[in-house]
Amino acid sequence: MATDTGRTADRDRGVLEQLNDRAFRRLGVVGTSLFALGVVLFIGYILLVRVDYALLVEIVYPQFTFAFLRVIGIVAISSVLSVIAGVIVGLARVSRTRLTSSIAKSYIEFFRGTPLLFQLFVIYIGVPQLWSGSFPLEQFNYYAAVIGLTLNHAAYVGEALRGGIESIPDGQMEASRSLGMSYIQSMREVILPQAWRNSLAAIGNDQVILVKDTSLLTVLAIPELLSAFRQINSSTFDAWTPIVLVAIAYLMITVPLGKVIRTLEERADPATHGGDD
Amino acid sequence: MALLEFEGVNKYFGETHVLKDIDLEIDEREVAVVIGPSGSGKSTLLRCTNRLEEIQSGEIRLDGVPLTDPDADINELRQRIGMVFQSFNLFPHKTALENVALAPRKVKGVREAKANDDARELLERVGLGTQTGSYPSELSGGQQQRVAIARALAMDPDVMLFDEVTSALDPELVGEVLEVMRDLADEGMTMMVVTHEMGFAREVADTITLMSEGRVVERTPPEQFFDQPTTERGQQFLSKLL
Repeated sequence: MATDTGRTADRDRGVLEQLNDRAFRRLGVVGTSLFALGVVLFIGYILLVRVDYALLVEIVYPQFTFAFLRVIGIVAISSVLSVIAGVIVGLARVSRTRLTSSIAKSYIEFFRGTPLLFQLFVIYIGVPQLWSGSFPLEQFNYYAAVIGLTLNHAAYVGEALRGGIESIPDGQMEASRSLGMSYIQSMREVILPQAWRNSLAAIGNDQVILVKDTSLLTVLAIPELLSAFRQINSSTFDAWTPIVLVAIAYLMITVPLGKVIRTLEERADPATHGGDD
Repeated sequence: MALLEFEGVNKYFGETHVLKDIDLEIDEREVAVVIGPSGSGKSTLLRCTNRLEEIQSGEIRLDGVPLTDPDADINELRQRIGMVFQSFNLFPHKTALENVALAPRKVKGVREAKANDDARELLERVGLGTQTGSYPSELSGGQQQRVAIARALAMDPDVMLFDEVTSALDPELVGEVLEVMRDLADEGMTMMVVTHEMGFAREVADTITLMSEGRVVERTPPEQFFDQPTTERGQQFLSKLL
């Protein structure tokens, strides 16, 4: 008798849970479908009604193409430089020399703690003021852009790498040093390859942000994608044609970049588990 | 003259006095087994020997050369002191072969082909001739520890330090590691072995050094130590084991 009641209760609860599960799943499917439908309708409306294709053809070349290539060029240079500088910052950050590590720490605090837009102004407007005569560099805005992006993102890369280095067990450095390898050799051969893998996701994430940060360069009078948008919008009063182009252009950089980073992460896999089983 | 000499060695961790006036001499080809309760300072003594820890006073000499001298070329001296750790510390991003060949290539400048040949030979010697391409995560604990021994041997050291190298192993894997160590001892390697394996100590050791509370309290041949310990400490330690 008692077991019967128990079984019934179990079955009841099971049915209730199944119902709940099913109901939730249905709710989820319906919800996401409605959302997707809304997005598709909206995009369809924009593409079919709002975008002026005659204008689009007119602006896609040369204006947008050049803006796009300019962004890619600035990203490529700043990205490479910021990773190189970031490795230096990260190594300085974990240095056992107090002076070195506190300088690196202050550097990171400053560049992560103030807005990139402000840093760009410091370089672009502040630095030339230190010269009494006219500033010697022509097209300084491009230099300022690359320097600003590099210094800013070096701080993030450095901090990501510090995390990666500190996640490596002390025993790795000890084993390496006990074989007679110097600190620098141990870093290069043993610690950094492992730390790099550990921080790859964070560094990749930062590089995607670097791409998007190029939109700030519009204030340095660099004709990048957002400048192109603003210029077309103010001369034609059309908003959605350049908006669509800008969105496509950014995604054409960030989506493949994300893929590259994921591939790098996957290739780094064999060492991720240093098991002791 | 002894190969490895400790003279008046003192070591502190902050306020804690972990090594107290250690005087010790280890001869060439000697297998010196260091035992003692945990916290007695035996692992610290090993770690000071290749300066993974710094001592506060006294001197440690290898072949008469003071390696605790601040001006000593520590990278040069460490090549002559092989160390094997409790937690293996293999480089997980490198294969067994690369683990063994790395230091000879980078430190001694041995060419890659030669370093790989030597590494293969060493891995064969520790019974891992067929595992040269495996990553540490693909090896058992006993295999990893044997790779670690081969890695230390690759620098052709004068003395090998073993820091509780079987303590992290499953019981059934202890034997294969001890066997490699026994072979090494038979070949005449000078060894300083911190261990809890009393069977190994009794069978392979030339001397037993008993440490307690940061001091060397007894240093005798194993037969004497296990059958008729001279000090009270030694008797106490043994009675706890049996």
